[in-house]
Amino acid sequence: MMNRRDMIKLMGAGMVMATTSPLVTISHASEVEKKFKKYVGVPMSKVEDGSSVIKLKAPSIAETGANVPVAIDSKVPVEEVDWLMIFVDNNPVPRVIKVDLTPMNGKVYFATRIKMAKTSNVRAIIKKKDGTYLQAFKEVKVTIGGCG
Amino acid sequence: MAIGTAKIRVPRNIKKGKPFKLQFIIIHPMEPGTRKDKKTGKLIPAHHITKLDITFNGKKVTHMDVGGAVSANPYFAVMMKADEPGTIEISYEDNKGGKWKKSVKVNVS
Amino acid sequence: MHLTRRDFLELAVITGAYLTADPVSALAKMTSEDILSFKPKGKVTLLFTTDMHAHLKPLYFMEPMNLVAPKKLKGLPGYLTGPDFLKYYKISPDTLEAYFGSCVNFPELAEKFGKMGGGEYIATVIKSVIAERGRENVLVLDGGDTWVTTAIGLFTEGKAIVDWMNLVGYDIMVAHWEFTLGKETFLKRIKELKAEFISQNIVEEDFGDLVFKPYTIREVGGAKLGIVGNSFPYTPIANPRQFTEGWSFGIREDQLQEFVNELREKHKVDVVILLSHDGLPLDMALAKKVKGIDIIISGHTHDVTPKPVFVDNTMIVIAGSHGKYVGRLDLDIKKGRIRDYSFKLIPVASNILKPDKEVQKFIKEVYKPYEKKLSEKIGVAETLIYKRDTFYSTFDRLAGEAIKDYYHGVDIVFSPGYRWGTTIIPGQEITVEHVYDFTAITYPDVHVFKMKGKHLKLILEDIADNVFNPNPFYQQGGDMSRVIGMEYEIEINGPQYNRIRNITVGGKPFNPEKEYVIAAYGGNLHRSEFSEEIKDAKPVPVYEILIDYIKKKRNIKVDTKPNVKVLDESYRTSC
Repeated sequence: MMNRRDMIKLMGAGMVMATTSPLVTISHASEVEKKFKKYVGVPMSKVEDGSSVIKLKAPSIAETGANVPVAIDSKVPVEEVDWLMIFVDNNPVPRVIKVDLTPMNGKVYFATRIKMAKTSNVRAIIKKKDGTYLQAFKEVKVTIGGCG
Repeated sequence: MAIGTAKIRVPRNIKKGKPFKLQFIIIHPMEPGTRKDKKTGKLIPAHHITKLDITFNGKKVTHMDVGGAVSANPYFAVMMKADEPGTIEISYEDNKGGKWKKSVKVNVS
Repeated sequence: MHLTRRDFLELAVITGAYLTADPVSALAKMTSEDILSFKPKGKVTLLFTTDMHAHLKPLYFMEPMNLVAPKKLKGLPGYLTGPDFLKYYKISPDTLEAYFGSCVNFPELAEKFGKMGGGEYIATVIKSVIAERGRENVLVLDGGDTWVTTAIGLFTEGKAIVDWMNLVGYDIMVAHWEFTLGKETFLKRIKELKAEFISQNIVEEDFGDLVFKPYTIREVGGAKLGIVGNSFPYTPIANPRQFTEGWSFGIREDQLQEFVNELREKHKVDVVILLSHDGLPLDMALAKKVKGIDIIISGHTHDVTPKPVFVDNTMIVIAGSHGKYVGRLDLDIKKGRIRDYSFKLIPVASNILKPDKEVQKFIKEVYKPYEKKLSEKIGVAETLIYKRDTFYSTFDRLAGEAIKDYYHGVDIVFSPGYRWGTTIIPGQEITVEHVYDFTAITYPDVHVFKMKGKHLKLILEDIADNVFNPNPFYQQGGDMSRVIGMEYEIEINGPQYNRIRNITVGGKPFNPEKEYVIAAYGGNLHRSEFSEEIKDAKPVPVYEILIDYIKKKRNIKVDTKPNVKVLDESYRTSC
């Protein structure tokens, strides 16, 4: 059988191949924690559940791992927000993009399209000016297809 | 289309002080640098947009730190508001020294 | 308007709707009147078909022996088969209704009741209801998978079925396999189609603009109906992407909610209907998420609902597949509320109904150029040849054998897990048309390639999660791809991407490092980054391989024993 390291290698290599990105093993929670601390700057335990104020739109099954639409829409007043970030647990570099907002934005909203190496949680993280963090997440499945 | 080219879309009727959606697509390969060439087995060097700024009449609206996992020919959308007519300018650069600027004029009613 | 669960229950008490919802007579000797008998309600009638798969001619089609489900979904509509289906809907065995809706005693009942569906018989049902109710009171809808996947659908690129739909008088449709005609042909066909094509879940890839009209509003029987469309959300994954390049699909439940609100608030419709090709389990999950849909007319998963399914305030119905049923739903709508309803899946029993003469003539005409080729008898079935099942079918075994016979040295054959095809009764002669009934796709080539065992397992696990994920939002609504030449065990409720074990290939232990030679058709597998195409093996359409093989063998006897063992759920091997 394939061991864990092989799978991860496979994932790395598979990263961008549009039609065929594989999936497999979700990273261990501890690994995600480590990456989270490294790329977000705070441990995940410091980030509050923001699912009631952050709306994260992403498909449950991606059409292709090369192009996954993600949109973040939040009720949090933009004046209170420092930045927002898209974080993908199982990507080689989980921090996909960081967006600094200003009151000129009028509203907390951001949309883009991202690459996903494999099935993973996609997180929308908001850092507020008062130093607190909020997040919402959704599992997005990356598949090679199947039934028809 | 050439690398760095952008298509920008704003609504036709923008109301003073009311947030509207700014959308744009930039032509760029967004090579993440973590991908291997299937034939040679070697890593394909990174080539992606790293920074992007949106201003309105010279004032900062949004700044983005862009990673290589944003899709090729990236799409971005933010909300913004305008109290007066003017120019939205989008400037961006990549890790190979490419620098571009695009702008669009908006009217406010 | 908004019908609450209590409203429905009250209704049921007043009208006995629950009790009379399945008035199909238990008698074998039925008349056309028995089949069409219906207790009309109100002024609005919805007629609907789905997943006809271009069967203009009547056929045998056996419902599956298995619909293996993850624990959370077990026993729910969408996962009821055979005796369980009959029990759930209180249908007596050996009746016409049992024959149409389950696999129990199928070959015997096929002799007794004859073939199902057929364009001229569907027309009879639809036209007779229109005559009874008046054209202005009837809306005719189709859930897609209608134009292609038979010889006539393939050879005319869907044109024969579009013309048929125009003759019958369809009003609205959504799609899935239709897209495999390619964008250009698809767009041409919807122009030829008199019915309106709607879909809220297809957008341009760049700025996300809608490609089609998301909904339509129709005045029917004095009521204002808002109909939103959902085409198959996973078209670009389940079928080759090139057919819909530049378009993005998905469920788009947030957008759907916006359109439902728009219909209610802006257009003040009386009733909101979702015409969908999402599949029944997904639509049941969707009804929990999206508020304000009164009725979902579902498609894709080919389920048969003799009675509506209720999820919160939404009524969900689905009219089977292959032209076997026309759904009829009468609605009594007053002051923006559904006060009463009456529902029936009308079985299209071709031996009992009278054919519509005009449509019969039309079908004869469109078949003329192909009739000789298609009616050629190439063999005799000694086993029941069927397609639908969760893991295995005799058709897939036959296809596997034929492909292995054609390409020497193939270890494993992948045959797609789609749910359409036909059924051939033991003793029945096999025709060229039968082969197309199982395989008529626009990308029919068999590809031969090498792949390492471990990657093959990865892919099987991926497919297994698309079928057995306990959350329908993460399923694609189909069955497992069939792997002929390989045996495995599966734990349906096992961890994601770790359900499969004890794989053997040709009776030998599975080796994850070994490069296996694989032949596949009807999927995207040969394009996977793990696949290395074998250049000497020329791609050949699967139907050509099958026709030659059946001609060579004549008497077709297929092993009925599945190559998959299900560890944690029951799995029938006979019905």
